[in-house]
Amino acid sequence: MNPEILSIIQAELDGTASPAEISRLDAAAAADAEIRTLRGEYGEIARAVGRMAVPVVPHGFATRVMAALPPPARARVPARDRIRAIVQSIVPSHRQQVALAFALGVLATFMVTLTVTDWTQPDSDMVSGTIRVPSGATVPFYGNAGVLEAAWIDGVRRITVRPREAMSLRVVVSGPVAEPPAVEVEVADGTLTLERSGGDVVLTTELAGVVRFSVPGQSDIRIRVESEDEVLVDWTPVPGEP
Amino acid sequence: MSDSEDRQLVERTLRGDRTAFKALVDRYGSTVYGVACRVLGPGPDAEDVAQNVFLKVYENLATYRPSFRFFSWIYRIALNESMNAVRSRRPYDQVDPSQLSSPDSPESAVESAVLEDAIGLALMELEPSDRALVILRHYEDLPYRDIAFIMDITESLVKSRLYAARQALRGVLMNRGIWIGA
Repeated sequence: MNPEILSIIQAELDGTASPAEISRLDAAAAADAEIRTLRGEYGEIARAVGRMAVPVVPHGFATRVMAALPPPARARVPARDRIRAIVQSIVPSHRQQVALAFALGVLATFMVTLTVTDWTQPDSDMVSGTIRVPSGATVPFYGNAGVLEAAWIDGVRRITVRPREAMSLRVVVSGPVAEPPAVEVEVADGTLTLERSGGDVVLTTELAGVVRFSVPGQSDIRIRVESEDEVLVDWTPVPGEP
Repeated sequence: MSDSEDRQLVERTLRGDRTAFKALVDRYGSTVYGVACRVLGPGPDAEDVAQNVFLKVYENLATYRPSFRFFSWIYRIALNESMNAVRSRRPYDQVDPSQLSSPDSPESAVESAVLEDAIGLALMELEPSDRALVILRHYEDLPYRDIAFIMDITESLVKSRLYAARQALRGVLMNRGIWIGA
């Protein structure tokens, strides 16, 4: 088989053969049965490939795909690029960026003492107490969200309160934010329980581990422990304050 | 499926609209699954690969350049994922050539539908890259330029390798006694 004729047969399949080449092929096929057969076979193969059955997508495929998708943030610009874009919009100068990184590092090292007050009413079940939040807070930024991790110390702190059925740990965010902040509260290994100790009802906080929350930008942070109708703890970290 | 509609769906997805991405999955689910089936053979592996393709598309959507057709971009990802899956297969997991059906008589004519089935099986005997070339040209009916982008090779290489792939496919059919009636 003439390689050139074979090449023209293939080009004809792809629609790239010139009219002159087609004419030459026609002439060759008219004179040679083998060329005619080969031309026909290749044409039939190509057509048959085009007619192959379309594989049917398994039922529920799209649903499974959507269920497996990561959180929406990952569909956007990678975190590294988001962080870079935000930092550059705040401090375009490289020197200022270095200074910002240093300042954040300093901010990250502070200790806050949480003081519960106004629980000294006679004949009340409430007493004052202290929840200490040691150092270790860090402020990394993820896109428009900042994460401040405050590690509560291990162990139990007793705050005697009037009996309540429900207690809650709530993070309140305020400050210069462009839109309502999205706040997630996660209390790792944290429990708030009520129990009787002698004649008192004792609120036992076992917030061992990490209280983690996400707030946008440079918002102020307050942490409140509330009962149904009363704020028991209202805390705002102040850098450097013991 | 227009290219501008695809670009709009991509933009909406990047803005957080998951329904837009669902629309892309609905549009291209068959295509992606088809690629996986053609390269791997139908089965759970193909569905796994197809699902992974969409996850990869979702996570890398910000890197899509609208100057390319979305179809070509997602096809390229699907082909790469499928080829990677083939390469990671153990030898005895390969498609069993005995699945190829042979007619009772090596010279018996093959009805059109049977030929398509036979060709589908014969394709599985080709190298995955050759298989992809034949599929892209004759099943997806793509021009050399698009094939070159998807396969990440030059157009001249598309042409020469496609020629070789077609020859190989014909050879497999002939070896199996599949008569291609013209």
